[in-house]
Amino acid sequence: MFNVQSIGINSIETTENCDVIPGLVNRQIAICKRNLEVMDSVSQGAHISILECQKQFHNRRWNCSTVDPFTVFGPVLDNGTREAAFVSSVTAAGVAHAVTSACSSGDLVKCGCDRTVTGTSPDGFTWSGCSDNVAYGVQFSKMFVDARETKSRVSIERRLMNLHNNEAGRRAIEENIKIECKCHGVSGSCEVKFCWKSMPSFRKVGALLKEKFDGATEVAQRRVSSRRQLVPVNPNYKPHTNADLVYLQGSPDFCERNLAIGSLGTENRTCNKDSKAIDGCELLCCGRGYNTKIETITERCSCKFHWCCYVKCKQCTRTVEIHTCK
Amino acid sequence: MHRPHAEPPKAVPPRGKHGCDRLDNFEEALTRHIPASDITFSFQIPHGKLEMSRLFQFMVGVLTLDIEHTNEVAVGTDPTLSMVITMGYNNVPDGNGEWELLYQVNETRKLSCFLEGEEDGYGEYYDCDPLALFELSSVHHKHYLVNIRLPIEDENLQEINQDIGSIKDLHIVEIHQTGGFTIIWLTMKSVFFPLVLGMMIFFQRRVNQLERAPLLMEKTILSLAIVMTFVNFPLEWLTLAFEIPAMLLISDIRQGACYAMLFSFWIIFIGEHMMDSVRRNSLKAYWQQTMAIGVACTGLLVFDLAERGSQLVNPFYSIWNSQQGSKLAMGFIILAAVCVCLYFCFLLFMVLCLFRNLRMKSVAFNSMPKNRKNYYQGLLYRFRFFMIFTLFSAVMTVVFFVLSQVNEVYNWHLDNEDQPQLHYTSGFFTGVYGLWNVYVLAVLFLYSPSHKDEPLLRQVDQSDGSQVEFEMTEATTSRPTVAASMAHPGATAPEVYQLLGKNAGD
Repeated sequence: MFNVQSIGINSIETTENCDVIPGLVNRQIAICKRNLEVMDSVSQGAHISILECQKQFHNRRWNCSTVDPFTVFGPVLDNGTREAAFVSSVTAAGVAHAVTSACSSGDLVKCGCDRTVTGTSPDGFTWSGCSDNVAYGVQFSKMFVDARETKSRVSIERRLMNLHNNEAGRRAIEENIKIECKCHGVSGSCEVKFCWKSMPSFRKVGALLKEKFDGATEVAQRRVSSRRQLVPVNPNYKPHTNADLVYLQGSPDFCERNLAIGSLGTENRTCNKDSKAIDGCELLCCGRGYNTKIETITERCSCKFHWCCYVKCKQCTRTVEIHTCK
Repeated sequence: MHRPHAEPPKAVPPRGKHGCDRLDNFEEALTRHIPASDITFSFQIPHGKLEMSRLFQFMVGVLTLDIEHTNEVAVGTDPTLSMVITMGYNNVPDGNGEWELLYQVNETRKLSCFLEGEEDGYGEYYDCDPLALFELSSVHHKHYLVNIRLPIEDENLQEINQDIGSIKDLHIVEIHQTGGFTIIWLTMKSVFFPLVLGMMIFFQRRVNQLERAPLLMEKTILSLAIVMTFVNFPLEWLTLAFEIPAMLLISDIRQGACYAMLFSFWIIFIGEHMMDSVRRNSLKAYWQQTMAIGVACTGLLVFDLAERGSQLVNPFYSIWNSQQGSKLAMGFIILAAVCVCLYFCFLLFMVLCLFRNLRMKSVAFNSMPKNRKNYYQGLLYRFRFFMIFTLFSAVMTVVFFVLSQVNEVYNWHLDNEDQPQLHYTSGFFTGVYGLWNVYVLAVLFLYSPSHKDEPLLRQVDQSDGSQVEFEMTEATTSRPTVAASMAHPGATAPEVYQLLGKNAGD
């Protein structure tokens, strides 16, 4: 996980840029230098995955806050928790998504209709069709994101977990490719139906991964016929599939501030008094209670979008109660 | 999202030396004070180093939209998208050159967008139906360029594009026939063309050798062969050298002629084998059926001429885009559908009559002399074989059609490697095409009048070359209870004779 915007580079244009991006491992720097044209999309992918994580978790105790540009999410990812699993998967998916989008808009010379990363041939275009080249995006994500999981950096079980979750993130895109069709034929009949594949929106991918987060399986590393594998801790549970998220240990409750484990605590977080769910004051504040403030806020209302590209709104003033955790 | 350097009409490519000043998002447009009329969505077809090939035959463009839903902004109730579209082309390698202007049009499209799932406010994208953008009947150039602008005022300074919500991006999906398929298709045409033509000449010579005037049945078969030859004629080879914008129209007309002829052929074929006492042998006897076919085809032809004809001038035009147009088009298509249904009712009725007659008449064979019996049973056998072949071809066509509609979508989800389903759809098309060609060849072959069977009632020669199927393999399969009144050979002979459709010479 890395964050290019934080170091003030807008675009990765030279190989020197690759050396200064925070958080890349050596193998990734090498890939960066070899694939400069793709790197903007990669950083775009990392960016959308952070936004998506924050969107999906905005009303939970752990709300995917970024702590510093170097490690981005801080020590919360040090342990093999559910949160770490989600972040791995959403990042891998974000990179695959952004690279595929760039490929479809023709920004990448290397990516054609061929289903391999190793180059493009004009013949492929003449003799067969092209859809959104998800295969290229997924391949690149596999190459770049998975390169982090080197033997020296992390334990073997953690490596297996990350690789599994990265793959699950990419699967969320691959398995939700939409088919769109158009009819063509004599007098507009559907004599021939042309169909093409299009990627799901990243919002949809994020929502799916959030579902996978809620249903993630706790696993442990075992040797199964001389191969190291992750198997569910509870043998009664259904074994996880390639598209499911897995984690190695339970998460902290994220109630109290403890930077050592990456928990920012929920103090001063805004909560919803009427909700019984995790965004409700009861659960979000971990039973510590909440403060109520009455504020008069001015907000935009009756908005109208004007192409292009501004939103014109009226100002409305209303009085609201704001609850924040003690 | 780009802003052109130059004033509009000129077509601007998305990137490269002459490319536009690029915007990464619309917030940037806002901070740079770029008005909507200066923002151009630019699409180069195909990407980068790739080139279009003349083998692609046609090119269809579909527009898809990314429209964001936020708490503040939603798509209006009846949104209309108004576009100023410029289309250009060039043939310079890599597309790095001056672009020639091809078309410049103003177009509107109705949007149909809805939200999937519950509205939770921020950042959802609408699910919008893809919009048909253009349909080019010839792919003559190597690179194409489409520029779309969404102005906020029309010529009369009326506000437009106010209801379309927060557009984030536009995408164009370009569809063409793949080169490989075109080659296979054209090869098939080039093979079938001389075959059917040759067979047609053979048939015509046989008919000419007869002493009598040709019968309706023979004329019909000949017309079927002529239409099939017209369909088979590999005119498409010319598109590799010349730009022929009317190619889609021509191929639609050819295909329509083929359907019309095949339908007429079936009616006359069944009618002439009816074996009742009515003497037909004239097109007038089939006026109801041919009229149904005629009306259906004329309706579709008018529609097609309007749609494809206007596309010759403006490939972005479609009847379906305007309300009156789509009502009219729907009217024509419903009329055609009603006529086709009527036709199939007639056909079904005639087939039922025919089978009833056939069953009754086959009884009569038992009392015939052996030679004559063999001869008639041969004719019946040929007829049955032909009915089954017709039915088989029709069923295969329907099955292939349904499979290509259903299976395609079904299989897409599973493919990881290549796109096999694409290949089988092509397979279906070539298969159906080949099947009907074989069908016409078989008609020409089996129904070409034999010059040897002039003295047929005196002596029937078992070794007659052109009628091999006379061999009595199936013997008498149906043996219904004998009706005494039918057993008189003299009474049945002229009627059974109609099997051959030769009552003129009796």
